[in-house]
Amino acid sequence: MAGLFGWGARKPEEAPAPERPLETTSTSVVLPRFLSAVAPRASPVILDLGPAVGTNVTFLGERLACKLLIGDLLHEVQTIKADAPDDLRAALMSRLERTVTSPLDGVLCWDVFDYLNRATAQVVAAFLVQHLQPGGVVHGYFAAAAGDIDRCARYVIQGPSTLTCRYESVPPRRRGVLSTRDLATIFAGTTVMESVLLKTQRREILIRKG
Amino acid sequence: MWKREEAPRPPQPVVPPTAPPPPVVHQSTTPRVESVQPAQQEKAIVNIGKSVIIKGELSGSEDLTIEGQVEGKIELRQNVLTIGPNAKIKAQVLARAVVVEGTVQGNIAASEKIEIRDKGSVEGDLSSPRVAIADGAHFRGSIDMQQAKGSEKHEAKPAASNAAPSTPAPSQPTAVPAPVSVAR
Repeated sequence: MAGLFGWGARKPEEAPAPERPLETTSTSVVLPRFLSAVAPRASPVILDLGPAVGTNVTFLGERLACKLLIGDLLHEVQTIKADAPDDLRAALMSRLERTVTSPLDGVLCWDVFDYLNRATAQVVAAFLVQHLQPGGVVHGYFAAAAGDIDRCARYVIQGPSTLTCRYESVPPRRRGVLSTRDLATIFAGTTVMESVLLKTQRREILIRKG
Repeated sequence: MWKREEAPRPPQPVVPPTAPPPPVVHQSTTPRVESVQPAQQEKAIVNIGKSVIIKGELSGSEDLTIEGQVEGKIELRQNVLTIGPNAKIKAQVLARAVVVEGTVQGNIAASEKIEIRDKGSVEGDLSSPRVAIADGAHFRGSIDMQQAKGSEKHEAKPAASNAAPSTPAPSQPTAVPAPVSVAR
């Protein structure tokens, strides 16, 4: 009877693996520093390398009265194959040159650098530093351990020190790891103001130019 | 019947709160209101259909919903422009408020609000005191919301900056601190 209905066919091994959360909320130590660094500036310009998020637009617009440039570099990362780094680099630079039309007071990198190899990261970082005003700041998450990325995060600012990550699946690719020394090299002319090692094996970093 | 009412009307101002005349007045006013409302609704619903393609400059003074294609410029400075889910716009857009449910390539400026709903897509620069982007919407470009708080900042700045070069107003002899703040 059990065999007839297939009850016996069930094996404990077939139990689905515990699903990873689609959304996590965490506290940020560095984001408030970023906001306080940008807030005193008159009509600040902020470049967001991630996709457009309505909550972030509203928060930054109301809090900083800033001009916000949306780069959405993850779009290129997701559409260009991982085995074509030169194409990706060209596409990213083309996108940045079209997006960045004025000097920057702040850059929200989120975890975009995790998707880039070292050569591409160096070119992108040099571009950002070049367009950053003296005293301008860069906020970003950088991987502290190697591994594969199979989902990307969309960062949502819930409050001055609260961030929610919403995840969505992406084709797997190798995570780029940049050490503190690497960061000092590729962001030449800047200083690492804050570096916080997170439980998720990542560092949340604030970089300042000048 | 009308003559009878017309006759007693002259004394009406003397006795306004009397009960009998109001029903007559209500009968005459209520239809007026009903006749006005549909007219406003008709004005509010103006559509450019799916199959319509416009190349050039589109301007007007009433709310508009576009479901077709427009290339060029759209100007509805005092009104709401809704870009429907089927619309494809390649134009510079100026309006009081803009709601995007379709696809727009071009800059949008609104004096009140820009709203990109889910499945809406915009590639261009947005300029408005309020910008709302729904989850699932696609946007690339710049967002300038400086008009809202910027106006407050600009209001504050001229007060300080004007105080220094111009002659101090008689009511502001305490403008002495202004040069100090400028020096900082």
